[in-house]
Amino acid sequence: MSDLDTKLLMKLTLEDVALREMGSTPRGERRFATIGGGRFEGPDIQGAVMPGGSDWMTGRGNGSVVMNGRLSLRTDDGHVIGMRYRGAMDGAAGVLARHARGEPVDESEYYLRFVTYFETTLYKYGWLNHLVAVGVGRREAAGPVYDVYRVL
Amino acid sequence: MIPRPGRDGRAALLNIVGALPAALKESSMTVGFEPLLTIQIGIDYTDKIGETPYGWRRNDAINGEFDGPKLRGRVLPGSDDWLLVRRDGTFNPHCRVLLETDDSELIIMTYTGVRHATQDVLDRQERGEPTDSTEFYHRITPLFETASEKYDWLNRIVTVGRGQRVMKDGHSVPIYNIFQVL
Repeated sequence: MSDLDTKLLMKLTLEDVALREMGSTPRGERRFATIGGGRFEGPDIQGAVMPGGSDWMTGRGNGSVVMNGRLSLRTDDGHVIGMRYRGAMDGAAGVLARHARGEPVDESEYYLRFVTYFETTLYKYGWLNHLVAVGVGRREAAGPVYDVYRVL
Repeated sequence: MIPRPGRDGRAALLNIVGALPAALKESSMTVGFEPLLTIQIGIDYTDKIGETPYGWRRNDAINGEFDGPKLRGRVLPGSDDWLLVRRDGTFNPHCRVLLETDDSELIIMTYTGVRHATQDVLDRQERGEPTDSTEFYHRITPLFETASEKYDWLNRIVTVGRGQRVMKDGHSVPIYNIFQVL
């Protein structure tokens, strides 16, 4: 089975991330992150992360967290793009607790990967509508940074 | 050759990255892939639902077999694909598949994805005619869910699959090579 090829789509930097602990629900330990803004930069697409994005995270209590995010992006040339992502963070429980508190955690200490889909009009960025992309992430002092790759 | 970033290869990668200037370290996050399984899908029957507000829908009752380095088995009856042909012509699978491993564990695999090509290629696939994988883009993103302790690791991973088409029982059906994202 030959590998999949990828190409960088964008480097996504999220800012003004506020965490709200909901507590234990029938789905698990729920934590909502609201995302106030940010930037995305890539070879073919650049712009701003609009306020109002969120990531509804679910902790499974075994060191793994499911990510489920929605963002609206606006390109520098004025197009609006919806981005949905779903993924997994996995590491030792203590590592994710430090991560959740916003303390520095080296990216080698955990696995943070997601798949993402985009939705936009059929104009300039219509190609995003039929693209599957994967992301890899780390947390920096100002917020998460995700590198998103096209799956070729 | 750059080592693959993964849970095992990551330390080696970090050693190399550690020697790079800070500006390049920023681009250090890469993804790698490890083969997880190959699954061949067959169609038992199709219910054509037709045009809905979201696009054109049909439901394929599917069967199949899967094989990989760490798990193998078959697709159980009741598995299906609520396939949506969007208004831009792109196919979106919406599959719910129940896998039974050869050691009798149950694993749910759900996936959506994208099958995109020129209308001519999609029409040929719909007519059951052969098409080559260079003629279309078919990628899926399976999620796994299981209560099995042995396969609990599947609950924790992110995966991507690449679809090819083969002819089976007069249908043009997919074979997916599914990879764990490292």
